[in-house]
Amino acid sequence: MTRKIQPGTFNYWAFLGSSLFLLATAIFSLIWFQKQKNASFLISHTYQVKLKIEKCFGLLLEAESSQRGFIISRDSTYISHLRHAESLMSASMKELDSLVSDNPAQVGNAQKLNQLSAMRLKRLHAVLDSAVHLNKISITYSSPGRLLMDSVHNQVKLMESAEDKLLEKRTLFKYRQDNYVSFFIILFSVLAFVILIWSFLKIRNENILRLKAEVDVDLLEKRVNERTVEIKNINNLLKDQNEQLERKNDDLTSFTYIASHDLKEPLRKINMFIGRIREQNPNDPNSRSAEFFNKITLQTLRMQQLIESVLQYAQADDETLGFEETDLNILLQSAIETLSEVIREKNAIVKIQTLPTLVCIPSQLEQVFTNLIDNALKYSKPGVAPYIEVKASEISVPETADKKSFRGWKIDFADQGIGFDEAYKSKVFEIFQRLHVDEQYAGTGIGLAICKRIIEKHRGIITVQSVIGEGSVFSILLPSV
Amino acid sequence: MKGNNRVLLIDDDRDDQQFLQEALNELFPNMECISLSNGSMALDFIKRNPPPPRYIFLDLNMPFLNGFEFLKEFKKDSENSETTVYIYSTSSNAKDREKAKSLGADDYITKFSDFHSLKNKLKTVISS
Repeated sequence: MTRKIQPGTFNYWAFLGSSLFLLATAIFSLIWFQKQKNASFLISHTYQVKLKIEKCFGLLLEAESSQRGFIISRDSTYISHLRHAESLMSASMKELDSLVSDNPAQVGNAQKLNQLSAMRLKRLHAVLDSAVHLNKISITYSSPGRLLMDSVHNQVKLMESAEDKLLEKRTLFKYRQDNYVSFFIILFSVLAFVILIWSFLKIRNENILRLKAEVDVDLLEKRVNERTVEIKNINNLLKDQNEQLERKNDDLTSFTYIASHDLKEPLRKINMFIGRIREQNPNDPNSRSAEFFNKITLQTLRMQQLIESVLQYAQADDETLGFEETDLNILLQSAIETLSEVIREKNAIVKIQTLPTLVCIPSQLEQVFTNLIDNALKYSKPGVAPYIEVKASEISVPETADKKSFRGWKIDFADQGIGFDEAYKSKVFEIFQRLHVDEQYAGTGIGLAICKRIIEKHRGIITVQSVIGEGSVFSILLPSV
Repeated sequence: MKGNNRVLLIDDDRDDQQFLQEALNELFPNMECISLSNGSMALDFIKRNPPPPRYIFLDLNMPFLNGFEFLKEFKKDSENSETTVYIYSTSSNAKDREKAKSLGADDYITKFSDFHSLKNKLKTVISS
């Protein structure tokens, strides 16, 4: 599993991005609506101006018709109508002024309209006054008044056309604005939709990944559980087999022990009976039967040795023996003591160096010393007093690529015996392998195998170097710890 | 215990009984040798024939009641404290030696493979 998943990271960014986008959209919309509102306001403002102009013109017409009505009918109601129209007109004029205050050109126009209107009203009143004073009906349409009215009308038309132009411009602006807004709203909606779709896809993808990862993890967990059960089963099997093996080993050990012990018994008795026969029939020691008895005794002795060795070999694996810190000098002395009779017989010299104190199984290491010295005595050159040297040196080998480090002691057992061909180097430590079949070298073929077994049990190494006719050096390497 | 020259041989091996008896008879003709083939028979005999014997030669591997079991039982009786007990076995095992010693055996003799050595050993361990 190398895929790394950070759930929620994308969701967080998508949420933040979408929020910002929506906020921007809202702000832009607000600005655009404000602009829309302005455009609409301006348009309605233009309409208001136009209406006001027309209202002013209408009121002027109304004043004119009221004046005429009075002149014709002398009905004073027309006078009040006139007055009313005049007052409304003056108010409307003021309103128009304020309405067009944002447009300097129209301000001028409005002033002119105001002046013209005032002149027309003045003329109206002049005609009215003359009509009242002269008390005659003048129905002729006063030509100066008509001209004035035309001017007013023209002014109105001028102003209206100016407003129309404005209206056209503003309507166009608003139309464009509308188009922009529509465009941007569609654009933003599409964008928002795309972001939404994208986020959805991303989240879905992430969920799929996560689900897949969860499935992977589940699968992995399942597999681990399966393997654990498998390993447990194998372990149990191994434990069972181990117990079985241990039992078999115990059986074998006791079998070897009992077999050796029981095999020795008949031999012992044969010897005993031979001894009794010789004691009771002390015949000529040079007779044939005396020679045969000697041979029988020799063979039983050899048989006893063999059985004893097999027993020792079996016991080399005895797990009940404990390791303890031991002065190897004591063990060496004890081994020499055991062989003292042979040493004396052969006039052998055993030269020893001081040995270290090591943690070992004392009885077993003594066995090794005994076997090695015994070996050196056994395979000495005939007629030459054996010379055996025991040397000890501390060694330390650093760790290398293919070998572990070693710190401990090397003990050499060097003899000047008959030696052997190094081609058989590995054979000498195998059980029942004898290099010298000659009867004069009476070995059992087990001694060195016992040594190897014991040294290996001590996590050590036993090696040999030999030259035919010059002697052998058996070296044992024992770790310090 | 004056006048008690009785020697008990407890061994299931007839040959060994014979060797020991002959050697003793040759060396100490005035000694009374009695051979029994297992521990329970021996305990029974000792109970029926007081006083306890002067010497006991005890094998370890025997049916019914082995040497160690016999020794344990025998040493429980304070009347038997005067008896000298020698283990007489083929086993040269150090553990057996230690066990025998802890149970009160006076010496441990490994069975010999020649008659001479047996007689020589008996000369050193028996005083008539």
